[in-house]
Amino acid sequence: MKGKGEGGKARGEEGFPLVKLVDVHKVYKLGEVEVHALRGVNLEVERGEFVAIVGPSGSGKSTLLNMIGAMDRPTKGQVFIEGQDITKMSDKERAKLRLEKIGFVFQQYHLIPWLPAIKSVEIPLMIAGVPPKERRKRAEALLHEVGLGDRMWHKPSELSGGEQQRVAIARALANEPEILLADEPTGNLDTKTGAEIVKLIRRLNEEKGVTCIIVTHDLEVAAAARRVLYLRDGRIVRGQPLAAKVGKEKALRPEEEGEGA
Amino acid sequence: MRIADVLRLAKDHMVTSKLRTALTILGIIMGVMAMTAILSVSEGFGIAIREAMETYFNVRVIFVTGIGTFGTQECKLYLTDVEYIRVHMADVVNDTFPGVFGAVRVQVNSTYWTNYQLVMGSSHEKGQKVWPTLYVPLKGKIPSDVDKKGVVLGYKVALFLARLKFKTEDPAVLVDKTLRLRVEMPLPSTAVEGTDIASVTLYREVTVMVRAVLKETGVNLAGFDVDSSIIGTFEAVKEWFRPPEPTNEGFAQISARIEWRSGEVDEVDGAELKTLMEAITVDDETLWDRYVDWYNTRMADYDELASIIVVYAKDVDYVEEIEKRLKDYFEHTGREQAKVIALKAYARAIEGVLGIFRSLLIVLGVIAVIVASLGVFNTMTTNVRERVKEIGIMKAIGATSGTVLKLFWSEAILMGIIGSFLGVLAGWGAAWVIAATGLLKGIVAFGAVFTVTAEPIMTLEIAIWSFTVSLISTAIFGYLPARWASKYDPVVALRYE
Ligand SMILES: Nc1ncnc2c1ncn2[C@@H]1O[C@H](COP(=O)(O)OP(=O)(O)OP(=O)(O)O)[C@@H](O)[C@H]1O
Ligand SMILES: [Mg+2]
Repeated sequence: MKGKGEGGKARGEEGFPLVKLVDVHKVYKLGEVEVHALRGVNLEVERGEFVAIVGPSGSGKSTLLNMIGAMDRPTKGQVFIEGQDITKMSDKERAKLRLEKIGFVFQQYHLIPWLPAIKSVEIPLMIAGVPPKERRKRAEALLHEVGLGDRMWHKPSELSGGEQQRVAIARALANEPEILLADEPTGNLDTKTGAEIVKLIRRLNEEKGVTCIIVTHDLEVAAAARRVLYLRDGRIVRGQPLAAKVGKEKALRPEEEGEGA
Repeated sequence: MRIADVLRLAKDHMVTSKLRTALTILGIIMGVMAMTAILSVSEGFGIAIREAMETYFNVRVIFVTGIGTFGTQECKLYLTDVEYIRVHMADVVNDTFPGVFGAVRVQVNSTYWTNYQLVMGSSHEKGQKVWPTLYVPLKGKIPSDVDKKGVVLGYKVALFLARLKFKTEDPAVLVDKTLRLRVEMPLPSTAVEGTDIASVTLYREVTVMVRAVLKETGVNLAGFDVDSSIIGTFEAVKEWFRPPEPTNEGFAQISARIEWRSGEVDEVDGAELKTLMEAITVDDETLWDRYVDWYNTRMADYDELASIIVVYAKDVDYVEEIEKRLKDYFEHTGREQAKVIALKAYARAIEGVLGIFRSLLIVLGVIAVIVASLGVFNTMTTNVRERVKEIGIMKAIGATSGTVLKLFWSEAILMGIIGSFLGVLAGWGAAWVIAATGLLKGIVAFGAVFTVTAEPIMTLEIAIWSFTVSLISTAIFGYLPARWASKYDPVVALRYE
């Protein structure tokens, strides 16, 4: 790949980019109608990056995130995580990959309603087979880290939206993933709370080096990213003058289509 | 995920949906309780009946009976038949002996006699050999076959006499008591045809000693109700029923009851009867002459006759062969009406009916358990439908299909274990209550052949069986929804509303 080694970004020991998509297509068939959610996406994300994906509704942002997160398979093309083509993996291997390398955060928080925060965070650890004492300790530490040290035994219905999202983040981090995939994490939150969540994610990226890929509608959120991908009609397109709209020069580096390929 | 963690999560969810879980478990409890109780009742009856058959129903025994009561049989059985069987079927027959049936009245006091009581004349010794568990004294000692005066009383007849004669409820008081029996021999109607006499019944009174009273058996062997019988030796009972010789001496032994066509009744002694019979003439023939003719015909083979022949097979496997050979023999000697009854066939018929009855009960029990499992199926299907999003979440955070399957299936299995365990306990309790309150402790009469008393019996085997069947059933019915749950695509599941 031409892009390899370019830009002096952090690479895995093997020399592979953390995430790499090659000509990824996704076609949903609804009876006769075919919906092209992705139409040939090429993308590389290096370890430690903080990437924002923006674009109009229906442009394929969530679909793209699902491709990266091994939740769905592309109709065509390849997805590499640390150099491994995950499209060729079995469902079981993909589950293992999600468990160990990927953390998801969703707009609707997606917490299990009947579990208290602490147990929600413990679930990925349970799946990974971490013994009870150890996982309890880790879940407690994570909840402290996201600022919910005093809400550990609250169920989702007893938490505010922001608090729920913090639990979701703690859960996503439980198995120390390489990549945090967030699909509009602030979409359901007010500006102030949303900003706090973004700050938390930023901090994780900076302090722990977790690679973050965030889908957002919120230009303020995008502004926090060093790199912004603009998605339209299933393609990564030339960047928009976000800076002009937001009024912030900082950190905006919208990418061109096929950049780095 | 570790099994312990799977169970922990399953438990957490079950606690969350307490009411639904509790109701489903209650369904299982009821199903298993029904099954356990049904099995224990069925077991109880099975054991009671098997015991009864083993005790009373010596399946090596075959009876041959003529038709009609002794002396009036259309199809006569002879002692020569007994001899024939003994000699010619020695390869398959262990023993054979004759029996004779009759009816007598028993004297209660100087004026009162009971109604007819069944009398059986046979061999005490052979009876004990063939029915060692049946021919057992409650009190007294079974007499030997040379004891011509001794009799054995069945439980019911002894109790009946104890009440009438001794005003007690203890049938054992009859032991060593003397009884006076009245043997009645009605003359055939042809003997008094054409006269003013409607009928003549000859009486002979005999004195017997009660040597023993039998334990209650509840058994009726080919029409021989053991509990209601007075049992003497073959020879003695035949003597009781022997018509008097047409001589002064012969008639001195008897008395008679004459019923006139006018409705009047006369009780006369033997000498008076003889005088009367000699005085009445029809068509130049006195009634006495008629009696002499009848007596001579009757006595031609009287000493040779038997009411019943008991055949005891060497082995239960020979029963069918003996049955066939006996039928052939009686057919060849012109007596195809002779009835050959193998107790084994009775036992088989009863076992067959019982088998159907028990299978039916077991089917009912299994249906109860399946209905309960359908409850589990219903609950689990609802669970899966309500938790589709959770399935998506679990998969997004790294759960495999297998883990999702285990999570759901373990709930069904946990409900199965709890419900089945409590159900077995409840069934055990129900069986105990049924036994304690005597709810089902009734006497079941099987075609008047024999009766048993049964109550539910709970065994570990039944407990294990009910538990296992129920658990397997809930596991199967719980597996399907769990499998559907595991098959959800994570993306689709997360989008599910
Ligand atoms: N499971 C699916 N079946 C059919 N079509 C789908 C499915 N998922 C997505 N699509 C279609 O694919 C296109 C891209 O969807 P996607 O959810 O990726 O958009 P998005 O950019 O995330 O939009 P939004 O900002 O509204 O979340 C849309 O037209 C959508 O209707
Ligand atoms: Mg979306």
